Amino acid sequence: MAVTVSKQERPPIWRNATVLKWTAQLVLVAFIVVAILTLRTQASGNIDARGITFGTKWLSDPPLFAIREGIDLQPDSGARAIYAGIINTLRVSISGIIAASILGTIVGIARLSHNWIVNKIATVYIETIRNIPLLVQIIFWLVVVQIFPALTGDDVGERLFIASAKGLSIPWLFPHDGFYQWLAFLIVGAVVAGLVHHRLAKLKEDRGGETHAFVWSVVTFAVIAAIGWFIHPIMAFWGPVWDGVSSFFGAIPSVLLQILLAGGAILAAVMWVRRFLDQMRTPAGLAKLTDDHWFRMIFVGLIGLVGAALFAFVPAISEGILRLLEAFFNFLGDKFDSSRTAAPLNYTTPAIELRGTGGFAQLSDQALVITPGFFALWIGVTLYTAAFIAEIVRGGIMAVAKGQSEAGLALGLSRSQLLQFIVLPQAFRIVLPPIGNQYLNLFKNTSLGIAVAFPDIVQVGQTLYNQTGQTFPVVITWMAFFLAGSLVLSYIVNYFNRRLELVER
Amino acid sequence: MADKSKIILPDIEEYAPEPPPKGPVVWAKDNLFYSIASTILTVVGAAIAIVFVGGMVGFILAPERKWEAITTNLRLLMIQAYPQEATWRIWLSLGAVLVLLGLSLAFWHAGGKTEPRKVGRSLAGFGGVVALVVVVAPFSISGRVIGLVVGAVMVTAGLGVVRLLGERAKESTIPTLVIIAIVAGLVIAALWVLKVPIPDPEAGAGQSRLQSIAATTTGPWTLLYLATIAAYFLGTVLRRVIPERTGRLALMVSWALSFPVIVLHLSRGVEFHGVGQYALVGLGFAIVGGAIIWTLADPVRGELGRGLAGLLLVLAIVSWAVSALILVRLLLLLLAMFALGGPTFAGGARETRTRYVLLWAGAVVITVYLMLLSTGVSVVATSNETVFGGFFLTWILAIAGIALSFPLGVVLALGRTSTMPIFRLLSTLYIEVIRGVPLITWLLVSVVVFPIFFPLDVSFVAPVKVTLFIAFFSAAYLAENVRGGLQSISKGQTEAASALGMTTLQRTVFITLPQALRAVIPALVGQVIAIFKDTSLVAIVGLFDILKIGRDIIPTQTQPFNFLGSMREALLAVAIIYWIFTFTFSRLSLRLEEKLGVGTR
Amino acid sequence: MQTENAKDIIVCDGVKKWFGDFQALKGVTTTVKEQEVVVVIGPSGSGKSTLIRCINRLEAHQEGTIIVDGIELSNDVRNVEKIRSEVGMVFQQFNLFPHLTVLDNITLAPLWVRKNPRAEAEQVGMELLERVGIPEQANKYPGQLSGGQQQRVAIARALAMKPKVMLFDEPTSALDPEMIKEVLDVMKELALSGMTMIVVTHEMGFAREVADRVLFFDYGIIVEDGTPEHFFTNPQHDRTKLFLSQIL
Repeated sequence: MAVTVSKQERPPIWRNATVLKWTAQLVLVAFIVVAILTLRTQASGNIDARGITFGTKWLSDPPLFAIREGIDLQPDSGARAIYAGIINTLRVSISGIIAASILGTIVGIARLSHNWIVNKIATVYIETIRNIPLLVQIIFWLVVVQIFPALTGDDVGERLFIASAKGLSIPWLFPHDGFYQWLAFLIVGAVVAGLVHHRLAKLKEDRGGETHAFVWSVVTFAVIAAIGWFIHPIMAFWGPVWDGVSSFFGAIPSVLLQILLAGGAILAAVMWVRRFLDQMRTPAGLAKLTDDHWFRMIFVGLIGLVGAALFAFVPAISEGILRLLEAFFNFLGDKFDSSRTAAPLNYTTPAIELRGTGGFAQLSDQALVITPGFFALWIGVTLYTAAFIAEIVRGGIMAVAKGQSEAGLALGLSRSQLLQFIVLPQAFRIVLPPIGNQYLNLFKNTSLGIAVAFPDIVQVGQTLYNQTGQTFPVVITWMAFFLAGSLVLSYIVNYFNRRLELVER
Repeated sequence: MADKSKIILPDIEEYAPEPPPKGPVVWAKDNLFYSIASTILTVVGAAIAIVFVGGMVGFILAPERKWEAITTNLRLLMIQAYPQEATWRIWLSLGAVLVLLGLSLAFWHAGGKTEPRKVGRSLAGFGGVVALVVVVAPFSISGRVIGLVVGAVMVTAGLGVVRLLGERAKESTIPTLVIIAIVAGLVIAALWVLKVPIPDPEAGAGQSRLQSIAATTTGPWTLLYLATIAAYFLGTVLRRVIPERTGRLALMVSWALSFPVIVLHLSRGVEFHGVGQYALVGLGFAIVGGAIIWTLADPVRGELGRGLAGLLLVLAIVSWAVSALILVRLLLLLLAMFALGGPTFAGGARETRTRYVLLWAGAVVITVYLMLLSTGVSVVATSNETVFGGFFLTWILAIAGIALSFPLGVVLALGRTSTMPIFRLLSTLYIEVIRGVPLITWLLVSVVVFPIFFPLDVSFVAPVKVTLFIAFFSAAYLAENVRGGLQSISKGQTEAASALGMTTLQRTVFITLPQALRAVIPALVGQVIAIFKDTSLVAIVGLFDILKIGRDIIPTQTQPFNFLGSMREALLAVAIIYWIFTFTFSRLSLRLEEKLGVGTR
Repeated sequence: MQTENAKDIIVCDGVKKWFGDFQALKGVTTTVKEQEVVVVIGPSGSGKSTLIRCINRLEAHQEGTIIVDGIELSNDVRNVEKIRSEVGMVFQQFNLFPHLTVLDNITLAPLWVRKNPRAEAEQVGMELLERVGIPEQANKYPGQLSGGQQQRVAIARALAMKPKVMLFDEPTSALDPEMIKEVLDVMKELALSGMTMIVVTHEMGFAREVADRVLFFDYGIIVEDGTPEHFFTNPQHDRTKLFLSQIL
């Protein structure tokens, strides 16, 4: 009966699964740390040999080049040049995302059309665009612009629409003097319209019938916007308020913010660990914590500590945040100045003018000028992404089972109700994550502007490091920008994804 | 209501099944004009199609187009500065690949059968497109007549075959491989027959003579075509002689080895240096290492074996910090890996241990050979820093990028799904950072930042740097695909493997990875296509790939011919070349997906 | 089936196990002797599967001790691997490897865990397939077999490791009724041949006919432990009576 048991409370260290697991992981970490240190030593030696020191001076030094288009053609500092590049990247990305979504949806639906010819056109479009590298397409579009006539001195004057080898120009509405004050009206209008919609929708639920909530909310918004167009100067009372806020931020010593931020970082970490432990708490006391749990808590704690140290000992961060806030509210104060009484928007028509020392004919920038570089990049990424979005849209609609539509129709829903309540919510939910991925791709693909001399952040950065030799800092700037952009975009997509999931419930 | 029901005996003949409404009119009504909106769409769509096709063909046929810029520069586009007297090396490489392809098609029983009806209809449809194009586009009268006749012949032939065969047209009887072989044969025949004007500098400016496209290559192409077919038939014979399993294994090893052999050996023509020294080191490692592995793999050693293997790994890593022959460092690393895997894959019987040691010896031989290759000097003289350029370079970058990214991607995917938090954290960090930043940024990094981390006397040629970063980039995307596959495997699979006593390594190698990879084959092919297209970005960092040649070289040629202003033609040609390959890949991937979906095991 | 003064092969002592804040095992103490056939029954969620999954450490227990064949289950990597290759397991969902043929499924572990030569492993595999009655399916893939055939392959796969103990986790629950018998027949034959078995099942007929002992599980503890006759004819605990009245 008796069993011979070789009882071991603890296995020897070299056979303990947990010990082995963590040894392997720590060895890897040690290996990476050593590799990084070695590479760093090597790199700093090489950099010294070339007589360059990486730093932040290039951000404040004035760059020795002009930017071809954007908010600032002659930036007075490297940082400003990068900023202008960022704005250009965002311009292409946002307009491209909007255009690609519209075109992609149309093509995707066309791909499902019963109409043979529409179907085939959509198919040919998708199969052509998807199978040619984007870069080839972008360069191709740049060459296409060159078919348009060159500008000569005889062309000077205004037109409704100009297509030339130097770019396109179309009429445009630009924000004008009273724009920001009007914007304040629009915000008020949106809030009021939202309230109206909410109220009417509730009324409909309570009493039945049709209250046209959507129509009335749009009407409300339009009326407030129209009134605001004429009386927007009354918003000028905000001017002094913004100025006050600005000087408030100007007065705060950065030490205060340093302490606040550092404390906040530690507090956030502590709160996280507490919440984590609360989740682990059971009626029978704290559940057993695995090594994974311990790691998570230690990791968050470390991050909190590093963050706190960073905030506490690098005053530049706090200083930068304060100056940014100060400048922002100062800017708002200026925009809400009581002297700004002109119309909020300004309509302009394209024109050709003589400019520069030689007096060459150029597109006047009074209207919207689409440079060849912008045109090629924008149309390239839009058409390319639209082809992928079209396939996703097609898949999404096809994935909503036919039975769903039939069930809806059998209930007596109208076509539009069917779309609104049955098909779209389901299709959107399927389609949104992959489309979000396509948006991210479009955003990253705008970096190909470098091939058509479009001054996006990559092109500006390249020019900067060619001039200053600050390759490493520029690369870090790129990475920070693109990672932040990707993060924001995926956050937005996730937000809508969650919203749609709630809609479905 | 009638007080009496009346029985009507129906005429049975009247209730015989009617054929469904058919014919072109019915088709047009169903597919083009079934409603007013649809009619409008049809008209608008047709107008767009006519304008677009007409414009496109008109652009292509316009007399001011300099298509001779392409035909004269085909060599440049394909292999750039590769010297003419050495082109046989390229042909040989291509031949090796095609022979392997032929053998593999036979050994994997590739290609199904298709219905004559489909083939006939495709032919007829193609004829219809030809006829439509010549009508819509600005062709000359004679051009239109010829086009219409060709179109009509194709339509009649296609529909005629279907009509002739009747019901039999619906049976799958035609092997797809035969169709592919016929189409490829026709293309090669066209190379011999079709003549285009090629500028003739000897006859004077603006003069040209008729010559076939790519005149110098008709012979080699024909030879390769025949060799491929011969290889296929050889394969069908061989697969009866040797066991299929052995044959497939041999072919897979050949495929894996073909790439380095072609890129580093065949196409460069290496002059080896220090063969004796390398061979000696290799021999030493093979013998001593073999003995070590043999000893450590013995289960009698138990944990001691693993511990010593771990020590070997540390030694191998340390060797990278001290000065040593790179070959020694690599072999040490390899030895450590083999020793670590020993108890898992070889322990126990003498037979398996012997096989494992032989495997080690093979790995040593291959490593020594590859090191010899990479340190050797190229005998093919070019003006570039490497012999690779043009479309050849595109392929090399794509294949090398994918091949290198594959192991890294798999490791990252395993890391991201691991139960060990630090591995998970590091893998996630790598994947997200790499994917969050565009490829062009990484390529610029490879050119301007990467070299900073190496001693000044170590310099990589641009294609190597770029390939490395394409691989790093691709690995992150690949990892996400593989992760999808890993997560799709049910927990029961790993549990069953654990219950059989398998170690984590064995579970991964035998159970989870094979299933995960099989599940994500379509996604992996998509990744290959994406990388193939993305290689065009190297033009931006100054590599002479097909795009750079088309954009920056051909349109600037003035001697001996004036090709200024031919950029549109060149870009179109580049686009078409890319399109042909990516389109074929994506079709193949669709077929593969269907096949995998149908044959679910 | 059970010989007198056989030695204990599995010893559980105060085994406790939590999933998050849910306690699945609340201190299980029992012993299984060599060549004994133990059937574990109980309502779903009572912890019976968890116990046998702890016995070959698919789940790690948090308190108490489990000793299999004289080796204590702990964080020791060597012990875990050793025990798993001594203890065979058959799952409810078969868990055959879909990318391998039936024969490859069976020979994989003998080849790579036991490191037997291929010829020997394949011979043993074929013998086992004959024993479970489907030698003709050796080169098919699991997806091409019926559920009952798959489960018999799974049993053969576990037997190929020549285990000292076999664990069955509801082996017939995922099967169509007409296939249950073919699997139970194989299990009966196995029990008669002297294999030590722990079987979690709802097949009361099997328990009555084959079991040496029946364990009734509920709320994560063993409520009742006895011979089949005793258990089915004269249950002691109210909980057992209620359970039996519901299923019989």
